[in-house]
Amino acid sequence: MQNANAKRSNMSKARGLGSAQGGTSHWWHQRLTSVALTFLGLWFLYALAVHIPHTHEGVVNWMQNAWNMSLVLLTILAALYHGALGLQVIIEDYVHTEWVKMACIYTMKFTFVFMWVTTIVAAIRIQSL
Amino acid sequence: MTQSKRPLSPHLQIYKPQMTSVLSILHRFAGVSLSTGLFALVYWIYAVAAGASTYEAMLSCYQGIVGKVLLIGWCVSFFYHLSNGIRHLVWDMGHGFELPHVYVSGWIVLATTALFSAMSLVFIF
Repeated sequence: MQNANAKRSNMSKARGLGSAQGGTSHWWHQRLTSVALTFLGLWFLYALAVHIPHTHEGVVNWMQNAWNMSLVLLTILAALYHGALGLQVIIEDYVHTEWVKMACIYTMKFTFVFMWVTTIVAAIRIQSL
Repeated sequence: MTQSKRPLSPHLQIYKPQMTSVLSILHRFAGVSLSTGLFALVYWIYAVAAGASTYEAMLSCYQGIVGKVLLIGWCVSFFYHLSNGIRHLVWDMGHGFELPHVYVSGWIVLATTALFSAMSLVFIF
């Protein structure tokens, strides 16, 4: 690496190592989703404890109500987004080798996208049960 | 970047645990715990879509001892992360930074967590 870098200008070596300029929106989205989850999370636990029937037929009926399904999807979306933002900060704080850090962040984010796709496909199927 | 051999600050092995630092790291632990809970949440909606037998299998998972311990863990994590998160939002708005206030809000967070977690036990059992 040292030989390959020898002929590069100082500017060329520095490029790409600075801030990605995304810190403020990351911070702000974390706060927005946290406020949303205050309500959605409490609503979901309340619904789970009090309203959602325990039988399969009952829970399917409950989820075929558009309001209920919309709120469930909002809860899962906000939770996945908030979780991905938080885990990214934790990885960035404790993993210091650049390629391992990037690998961890991408693996985590792809997993979260996969969970969101699973949720959407499940939601569509529940409507036709 | 070359890895330096110098010790990293803060020196956790000689640091006396304080309420401020302990509550702070617990917020992260609760967050990680809740992230693993997301798998359970997605599994729940998947199981409903997959049909009655998968749904019943999921229910029996959560009625076993391991399932119940996990549910209790996620409930405690949720209420802690929620109440301490509200504490953080108040800080973000610029209030409550005086040291006595930090301790009072810390105790309120712990009391709220204990109360709501105890309430959730009723529904888990």
